[in-house]
Parts: sequence; structure tokens; C-alpha cells
Amino acid sequence: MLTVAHLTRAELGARLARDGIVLQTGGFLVHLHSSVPALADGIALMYRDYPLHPPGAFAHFRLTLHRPASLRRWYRPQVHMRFDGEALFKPLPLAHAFPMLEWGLNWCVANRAHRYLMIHAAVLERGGRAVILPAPPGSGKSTLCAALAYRGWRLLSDELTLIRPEDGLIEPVPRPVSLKNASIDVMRSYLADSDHAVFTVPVDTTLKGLVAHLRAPADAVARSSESARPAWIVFPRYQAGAPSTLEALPPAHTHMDLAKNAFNYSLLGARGFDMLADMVGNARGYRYTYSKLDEAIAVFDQLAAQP
Amino acid sequence: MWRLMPGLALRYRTWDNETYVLYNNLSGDTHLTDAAAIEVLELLRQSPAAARSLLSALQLDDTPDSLAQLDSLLAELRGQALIESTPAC
Repeated sequence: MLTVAHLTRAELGARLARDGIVLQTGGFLVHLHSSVPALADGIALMYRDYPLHPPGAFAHFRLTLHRPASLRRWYRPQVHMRFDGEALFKPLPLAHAFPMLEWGLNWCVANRAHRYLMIHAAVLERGGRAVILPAPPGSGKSTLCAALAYRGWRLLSDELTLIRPEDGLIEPVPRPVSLKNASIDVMRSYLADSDHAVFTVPVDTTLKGLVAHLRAPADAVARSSESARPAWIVFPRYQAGAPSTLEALPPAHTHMDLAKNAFNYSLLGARGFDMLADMVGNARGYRYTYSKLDEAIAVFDQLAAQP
Repeated sequence: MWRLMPGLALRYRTWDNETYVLYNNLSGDTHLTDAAAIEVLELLRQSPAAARSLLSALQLDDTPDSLAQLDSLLAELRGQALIESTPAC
């Protein structure tokens, strides 16, 4: 299968601008069309290992990122994004093109993939069992996820936990890990010994502060058709100076807290309730407070060693 | 007389027989609740009942204190749109 890495940067840019490319991320095919060089740079860097399908192939989503033909093409240049021809977000500065694509891809899945029960949570796998990390922004979820993804756990997603209705398994959709503000330097330092940890240049966004992306490990991309059984639901919270503390959470409370983090729990109605309850009944719930990544890795290693 | 809201499916789960999650198919809300509430709802699923009949079915003493606690629970369930008082009473 052709991957992004098979194309030179010039070929990738030309294809994106001409007919667009059909990029596969997990079970989703996305048609991307753009002549914005910063976007092609980001795709070349972050999506190197992802399959490419022929330009005319079926795509679940169609995204176009383009520069307007107005004065804004030159004066404080902007980028616009369209989903199936309709404007998706407000225009952003041109330098935000790659983060905008990532937000757009998240939006597409979160607003369209209702066949799954979707939880706003990072998710990783080890030995066929998945740990789900639901948490609001600022909880250190993505930082923890990035560390685990490069320390023995397989990245399934850093934002979207997709639970299949037919068997309750989690379907991977591994994409770059989004890091914000202080966590960017934390992870650069933490993963300094890894040749494979590649970051985008941080972009200063007004919406989320400083944003950078970390490439998903190649193994996670290669194994993106391998689903995993939910085994642990851990609500992480970073707290400066706090000792590493893992507390068991009763299933009913796990269910309630998980529902608050689901994108489409209400939309799925009774089916969503049953799916969530089935998952909670077969997994162990915890609250986890941490301040040091090495301590966190040790705790998650202990979880993985559970029978 | 109290009764379940017409159309309520009464879907719930527990993992310890003490704390329950209850799905209200009419409102789409999920509630965290306890065994006493589920017992009252199950009794009302069988048939509408007055508060004193519920006390008896729950094998509670008919004292002002017990009745006040049951009234408080019934008010809570009504607030969650799970039960309603019937116009007949």
C-alpha cells in the first residue's frame, strides 16, 4: 500500500493541490485538498506512515483547506477550512493550517461517526487490553498519553475512544498527539532519547495557547486495524508536586463520569446506556493523580500486569 | 397515589446492589441512585400505590419519620421525571 512516505515533499504538495489525497487514519478515509504549503509540510512530517488511497477512492469525509482569494491572501494571511463544501470553523492565521486540520479531523469523527459510542478520551493498548483516559482539557491526559505511547503502550487515539456496538471492542484511530503549552517542552525532554519522537514546530493559537503535535509511533499506525478490549478506565489529573495516587472508583461512579465525557451518549439513548454499562462492568475504574511521568509509567505497568 | 411516568422503561444497572445507574428513556438522563429508589420504582412498575401502601410493601414501620423519608424520596423521583402523582388522589 502506498504511504505518504513514498511521495517526495514536492509530489505530496502537487497531489494535494491538484486532485487532493485520500488519507487513511484508522477506519476512516479522508479526502484532503489544499494548496497551503504549511499543511503539506505537516502531513509529510506527521502522517509519513499512513496509507494513501487513489484520489477517486471513496472517502468518509472531504476537507478542503485553502487561502482566500481576497486581500487576506496577502495581508495577515488566513486559511479557511471546508467540510463537504461548507465552512467548518472561522478562518485562522495561515500558520495554524496543520492544527486546524487536526481539529477538523476530530470534528468529522466526533460529529459523524455515530455508529460508535464515542468518548472524549485517550486510549492505549497492551496485551490486547485497553486503558481509557477520559479527562477534560488541562488534566494532563495528552501528556500522559504521549508518554505511554512511547513507553510500551500502543496508541489507539489521544482524543477519540470509539467503542463498537457489535462487540464492545475499541477501534483504533491513531493520529498525532496534540500537546499544549508547557507539556510540549515536557515531552520533548522526556522523549529526547527516542529517535522516533518527532514534533511539529509549536504554533501560538489564540484558542488553545501554544500547540504542537507529536507523531504517532509507526507501530501504532501499522496496527490500526487491531481492536482492543476495554480493561481499565482511568481518570487522570496532573497536579504539580502531587504524589502518584491511584484510587479505585466504583462502577456506578465510573459510568456517570464516563457518560459526561462521551460525545454521543445521549444521542444513542438506551443503546448508549447499555454499551457504557457493559463496558464499565467488564473494566476497572480508577482516579489517578500524578506529577511525575516516570511514576505514572510505573503505575500503568502495574495495571498491565494485573490478571 | 403514585405511578411510574407513562412510557418509562425503567432500565438500570448495579454492580454492588447498593449504588445504581438508572436510564430515563423519556428525558435521556442517567441518574446515580440507590437500592431504596429502585425498590420503590419496581413496586410502582407493578401498580400505582399510595405512600402508606409503599411503606407497607417496603416493610417499614408506619411512623411519621419513615413517611417523611419516603415522601422525600418520592419528591426526588418526581423531580427526576420518573414518577408522577395520579389525578385520582
